Amino acid sequence: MKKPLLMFLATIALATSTYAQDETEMKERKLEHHVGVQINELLRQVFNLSGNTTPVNNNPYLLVYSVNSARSGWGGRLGVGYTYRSFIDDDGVNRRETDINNMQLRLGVEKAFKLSGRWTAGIGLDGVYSMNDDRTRNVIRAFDTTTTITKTDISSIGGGAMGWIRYRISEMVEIGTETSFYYVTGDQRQDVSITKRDFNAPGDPLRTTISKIDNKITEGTFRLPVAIYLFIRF
Amino acid sequence: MKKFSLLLLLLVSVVIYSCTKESDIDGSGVVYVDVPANGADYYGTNASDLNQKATLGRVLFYERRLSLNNSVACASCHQQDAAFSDKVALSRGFENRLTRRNSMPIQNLAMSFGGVVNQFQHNGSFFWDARESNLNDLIARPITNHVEMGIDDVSVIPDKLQGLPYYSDLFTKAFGSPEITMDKIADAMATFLLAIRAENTKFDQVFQGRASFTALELEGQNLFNTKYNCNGCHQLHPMGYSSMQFINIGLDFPNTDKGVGEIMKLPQFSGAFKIPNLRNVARTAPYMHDGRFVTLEAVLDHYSHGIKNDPNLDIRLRGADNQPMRMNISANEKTAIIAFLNTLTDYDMLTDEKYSDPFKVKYQ
Repeated sequence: MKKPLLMFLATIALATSTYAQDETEMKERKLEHHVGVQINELLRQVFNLSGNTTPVNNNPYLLVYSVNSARSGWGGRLGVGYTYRSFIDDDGVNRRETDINNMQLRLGVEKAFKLSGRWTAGIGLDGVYSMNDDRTRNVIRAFDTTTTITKTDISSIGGGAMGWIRYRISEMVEIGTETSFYYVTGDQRQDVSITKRDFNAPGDPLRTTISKIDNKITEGTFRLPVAIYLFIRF
Repeated sequence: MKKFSLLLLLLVSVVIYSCTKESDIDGSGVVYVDVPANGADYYGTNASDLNQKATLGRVLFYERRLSLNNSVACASCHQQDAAFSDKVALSRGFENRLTRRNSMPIQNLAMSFGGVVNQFQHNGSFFWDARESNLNDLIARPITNHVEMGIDDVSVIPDKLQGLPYYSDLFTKAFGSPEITMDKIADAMATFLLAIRAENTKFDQVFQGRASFTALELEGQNLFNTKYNCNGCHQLHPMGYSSMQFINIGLDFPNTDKGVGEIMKLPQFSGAFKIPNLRNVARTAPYMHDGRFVTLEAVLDHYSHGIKNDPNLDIRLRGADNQPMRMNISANEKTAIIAFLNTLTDYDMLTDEKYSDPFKVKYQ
């Protein structure tokens, strides 16, 4: 609860500070900057929405930024997503420790269109890069003691088309969503190290075997417009 | 400066939010396998061979060494008290990475074979997307999945199991020799999976004259069979269940998961998934191929007013105007339907020791 509350307080503080901005200065800008943060999980946890459903959102970009020409609407965009998860499972027989790092980047160009006084939309093309790093160590303490360490690296690169729509809540605050289809190709590399006792050898020594796996991956992912972003415009 | 500070605060909070740490209790113990010497009664007292095979299959079902790093077994994602489904939307594999789809329950699989005309020309149909028609071949699928159990080449499995003291006796009783092969493993596990039957629900007892529905359950059954025609897809035959159909129920449009369409490579099947068995449905939450609905109320809400106008939407979910049906199920009707669905729970199957984890731990 602490994490979403901290995010919520930060968001409110940020939103309320926007009223200090001089409106004349805003209207004269040649470039429009947008910094956005995905707030789906925040809304779910703070307002306890949709307790009967689990998130279907598969948009990994937690932070986004775009800069557009106020006159033509053309501009560039950037998105970043990063998660770190650490697990320790121990049931008395099996102990598994996992660290997962996942990073997603995207860089692209877009054109924004003004639909009405408060609504804007845009389309663009993105290049995307994804990196997933998984380190797992498992020790099974039954009949023998086998330690298995797996290191899996999955990286992919690709691109595709996207579209977005935003609604202006105030002069500096907007809310919006986006949809995209990205096609990526990449590699999955896995190093496996297994250490166990060799009961067929004198003294039952520990032996380690190492193997490597290398797979190619390709996938096309369509993302529904279910990710909600809160934008600060300046 | 103020804006920059607040932006920085937001960024820091987002980073904190991205990082999570989870842990469990610590402990140590001695493991032993606890199975009946003559095999449990899965197929009747005159089917000793099948019972021994199923007993071996039970041990293999709970065997973590079928995963690359010995951390997960089939039972890790198919838990008995959840009718051998998982209790989360997506399970975690051998490296704690999320699986692609929700773990389906395992029960009454024998009713998935032949005898019913299948529009996809398969004998059986397994997984949400029907990508497997043979139960023995199904066994290797999660084992070789790079997220679920991670073993690249199943030929290493016999060597992994050979040194374990309890398999010599189990394989000898099941197959006449202690030699371990992947074919024997698949055969034993398939025999165990087929033995998992949900057939002593209150629904079955009512059909056999051994029990009576309450007024609320009766009303729910009536709504299920008549007004809302749930029985049109979820066919509840007494003592079994039989449907090898796959339909699109308008969960998303456009589809992010093509389901059967991905396997068949035909656009008209995009977004179609296997119609699940509703026995023990009250225990198999969350629901749908991605576990998106946490409760049965949420499922009924989808049918009530949430069906999307997917071009491949099943005709049974379209109204006379060819638009997605809006069943507008009232709150009272939902209560009655859920009461009826609760009568499909087989508490015997959920607690029967012959399906349970045979690996016991003696804590020191």
